[in-house]
Amino acid sequence: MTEQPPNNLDKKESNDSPYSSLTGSFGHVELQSKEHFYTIKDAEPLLNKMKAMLRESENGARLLDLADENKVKFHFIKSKKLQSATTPSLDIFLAAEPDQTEPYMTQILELGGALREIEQSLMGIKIPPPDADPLERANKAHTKFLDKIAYMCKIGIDLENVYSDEVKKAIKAFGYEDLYNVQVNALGEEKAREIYFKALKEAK
Amino acid sequence: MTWQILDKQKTGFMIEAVKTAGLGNLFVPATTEARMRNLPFYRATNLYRLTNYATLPAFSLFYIGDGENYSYLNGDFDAIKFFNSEKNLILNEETVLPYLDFYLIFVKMDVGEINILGDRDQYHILEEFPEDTDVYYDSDKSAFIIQVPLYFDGSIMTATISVTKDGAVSITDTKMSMQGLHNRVNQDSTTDY
Repeated sequence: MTEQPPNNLDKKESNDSPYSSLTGSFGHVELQSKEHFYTIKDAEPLLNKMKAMLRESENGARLLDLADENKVKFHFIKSKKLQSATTPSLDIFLAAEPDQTEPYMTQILELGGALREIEQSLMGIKIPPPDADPLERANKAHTKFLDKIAYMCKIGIDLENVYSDEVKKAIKAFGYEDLYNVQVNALGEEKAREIYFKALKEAK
Repeated sequence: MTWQILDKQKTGFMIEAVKTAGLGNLFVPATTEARMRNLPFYRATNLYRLTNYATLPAFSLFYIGDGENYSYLNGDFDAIKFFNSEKNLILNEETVLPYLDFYLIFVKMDVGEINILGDRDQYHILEEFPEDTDVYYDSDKSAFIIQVPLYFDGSIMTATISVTKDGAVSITDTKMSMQGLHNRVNQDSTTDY
């Protein structure tokens, strides 16, 4: 179930027009009347479909159980870009298209990754604050990210029996094919780190 | 066109201004960066990006606004239409192309993802428009008519697009780009058999 927004419901984004003459058919009154500028109305069916698909993975099911036990809250944000974020207060923000009704495999893996981030947070694995030692911060951030990708790949492997090509396409869309093969062939953490940091270097 | 990083105070103001019930503490000043860039087709409206660096990969949302009021670019035309007043939107033969690119990036089209051909910066904004682009103003239709090569549904097409004075965009015609096809055949022909 989609949770109620975490903070003050009365505090809405200001949509007041900066131009006094800007009224007409699309004036600020109409914009203010929109209930949720960010969130997708009736997102619960989409979330339920995503959870049901993720639960077909053993790793995904474990993470979903963990989310239930810890009362993790899910929020959808309207966006054209596939992405997710988690907060220390155990919120997961997932991006979805405004009128989306069916989940994409990329979103299932993204949800799995976000849940792993929540698990990391519960284990005390966090990115140090911006004023921390930069090397320590970078090291922890990359270790955390690599672990998240590893879990997304593990979930992909679980789901490949059911969704086959869809999973491969999603992994390709993320650009995680090499890291996926590390998981498939059990090549170990060192190999994964080698591939990850090589890709990072090439991206710079 | 360059992006400008906002200082901590302005970033804090922006977070407060856009923080709604739906966002909770997704953006907190300590781990959020706000950037701004000018948009050549607006007099007093800029593009903003809020990024949460406490999550990996970083989580970003885009807004347009004037520094005090912001509209979240959620994929609906409404978010942009709000700023497309006659006094604010400057559409001419030079600015209509960047406007079209902006529109295609931030508004979800019914037909799916469409992108003008060309190199893009890290924020996916087009750096240079294709040479074989044609723009003119059709006074009968009160709209700019643009012919431009683009990617649509995995193919390279040439599209005819109409942009009205209030910024509404509609694709009136598409056809397979023979030039794009020709280039593809030439690239593939290097394979030895």
